[in-house]
Amino acid sequence: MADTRASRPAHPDDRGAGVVIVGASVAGVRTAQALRAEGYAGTITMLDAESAEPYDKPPLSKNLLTGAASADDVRLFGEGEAHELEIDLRLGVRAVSLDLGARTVVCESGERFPFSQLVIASGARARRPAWASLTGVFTLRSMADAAAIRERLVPGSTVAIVGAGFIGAELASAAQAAGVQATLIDPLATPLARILGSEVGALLADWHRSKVATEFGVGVTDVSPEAGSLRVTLSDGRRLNADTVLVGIGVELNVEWLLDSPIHLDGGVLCDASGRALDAWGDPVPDVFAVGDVSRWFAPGRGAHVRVEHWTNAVEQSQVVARAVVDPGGAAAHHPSFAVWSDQFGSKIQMSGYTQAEDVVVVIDGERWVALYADGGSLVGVVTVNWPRLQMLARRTIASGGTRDVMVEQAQALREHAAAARPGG
Amino acid sequence: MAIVTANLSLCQGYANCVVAADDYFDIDDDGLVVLLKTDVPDDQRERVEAAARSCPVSALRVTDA
Ligand SMILES: Cc1cc2nc3c(=O)[nH]c(=O)nc-3n(C[C@H](O)[C@H](O)[C@H](O)COP(=O)(O)OP(=O)(O)OC[C@H]3O[C@@H](n4cnc5c(N)ncnc54)[C@H](O)[C@@H]3O)c2cc1C
Ligand code: SF4
Repeated sequence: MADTRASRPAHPDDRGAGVVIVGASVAGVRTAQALRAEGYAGTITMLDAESAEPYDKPPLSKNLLTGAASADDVRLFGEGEAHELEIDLRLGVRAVSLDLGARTVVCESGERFPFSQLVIASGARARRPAWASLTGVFTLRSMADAAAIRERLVPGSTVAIVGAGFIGAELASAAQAAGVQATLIDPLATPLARILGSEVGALLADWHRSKVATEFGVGVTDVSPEAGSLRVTLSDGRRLNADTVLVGIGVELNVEWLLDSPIHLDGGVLCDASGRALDAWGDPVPDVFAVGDVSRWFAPGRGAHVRVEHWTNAVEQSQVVARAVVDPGGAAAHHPSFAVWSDQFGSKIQMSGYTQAEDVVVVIDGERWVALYADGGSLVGVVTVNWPRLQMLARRTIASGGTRDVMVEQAQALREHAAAARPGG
Repeated sequence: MAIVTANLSLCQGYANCVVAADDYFDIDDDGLVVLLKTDVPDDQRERVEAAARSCPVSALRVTDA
């Protein structure tokens, strides 16, 4: 490999308007960084509707909420980095439409940003039920949301958390750590079964029940104000009182600004396997890419378009798109790792690959365990709790097409080793 | 020539770096990153920087030697 930083010629379009990136969260920022690392020498303009310096979202429900990290710890750019990389960061600027004919992004302020290539990284926002506008009810997607929630986590107060996905469980964990009495509510009896299958979903549901008060299998039909607090009505007719209600029930995509463009929106900005946005005929729209939560890329291993709303995937995609911008002929198909982590109740949950396969083997070693998912003998997915090394080994095995049995043996060997080494174990 | 360094107090064992460049990074049983080598020749820099960008807690840094 040659030193691309020095030797790669500038893209022919570099004389022109350059790359415009809409959205300065992880997908947008990592794309800008990767473009420079790939030797892109043209102009990079990055717009974001928010005026806060670009920050990372996973800590919002983790150590930013517990106070272990501050806003300065979660910036996506290092000190002075955006300036050094000559990235023109336009904060507080909202894109409202895309004029593809004129290759221009039009903003709320009336400003227009012409581009040679466009990267759509406008992500998603929290879905809000009708009662979400009540005082004391919060969703979590931004730094401001996290700050507001943090203020509510007063020791001795009560909080009802609606939705027991990863964010809901992390919120419950942070609330408890702050001395708040939390109840985690989900309409499904096994909230994580949808993404992890029924067996592993049940393991985690039991684990959650052992950590926090839960109401699984009952929905929330209404929330209303009552004498300074909130009354939460459950689908079985019971009522709960809470000082604060936190809602984690999924997202809506920030695609309104694309509605009048030829870009095909179908559960996300539909893209090919290297992030090129497609039109309604399935053809790539020239020089338009999409990355991160807003995008739905073709995943060759699944034979389908898949939208992924996780951090590592956004970073993987940003690398692929940066390469495709710099070297349009060399666009390679991306094989996503589907890697996700969640930190909750002092444990580290990690997963990657396809974790909905029916065929799953679980190896438990005290406080740590692994679930290995197979399809026709091959390892296709993995979930680990507190077992990062096994997660890493399994991710490699998935990538290289290895068998599940070999991973089960490795896990058992590591377990027996640990048991033998433990006094009295 | 550059070097790669890891901040072990930040590392959370996510292993994204290992997946991106397993000749440079490994993780130990406690889930902490292990640097297999630290010298980054120019022709490897892009790849190691990509691995550093893939770290969710920015625990890796590639700097000029
Ligand atoms: C609380 C929380 C915890 C999470 N924890 C984890 C975790 O532990 N592990 C994990 O893998 N993932 C986690 N995620 C998911 C991960 O953070 C997302 O996958 C990631 O943020 C997606 O990045 P993105 O850049 O695609 O979109 P977003 O982060 O949604 O960013 C989109 C950006 O675009 C801007 N924007 C939107 N519309 C416009 C417009 N019209 N004009 C200009 N700008 C616009 C927005 O202001 C925003 O800054 C978490 C998410 C949240 C909210
Ligand atoms: S990606 Fe970062 S957190 Fe993960 S093992 Fe590597 S250095 Fe540690």
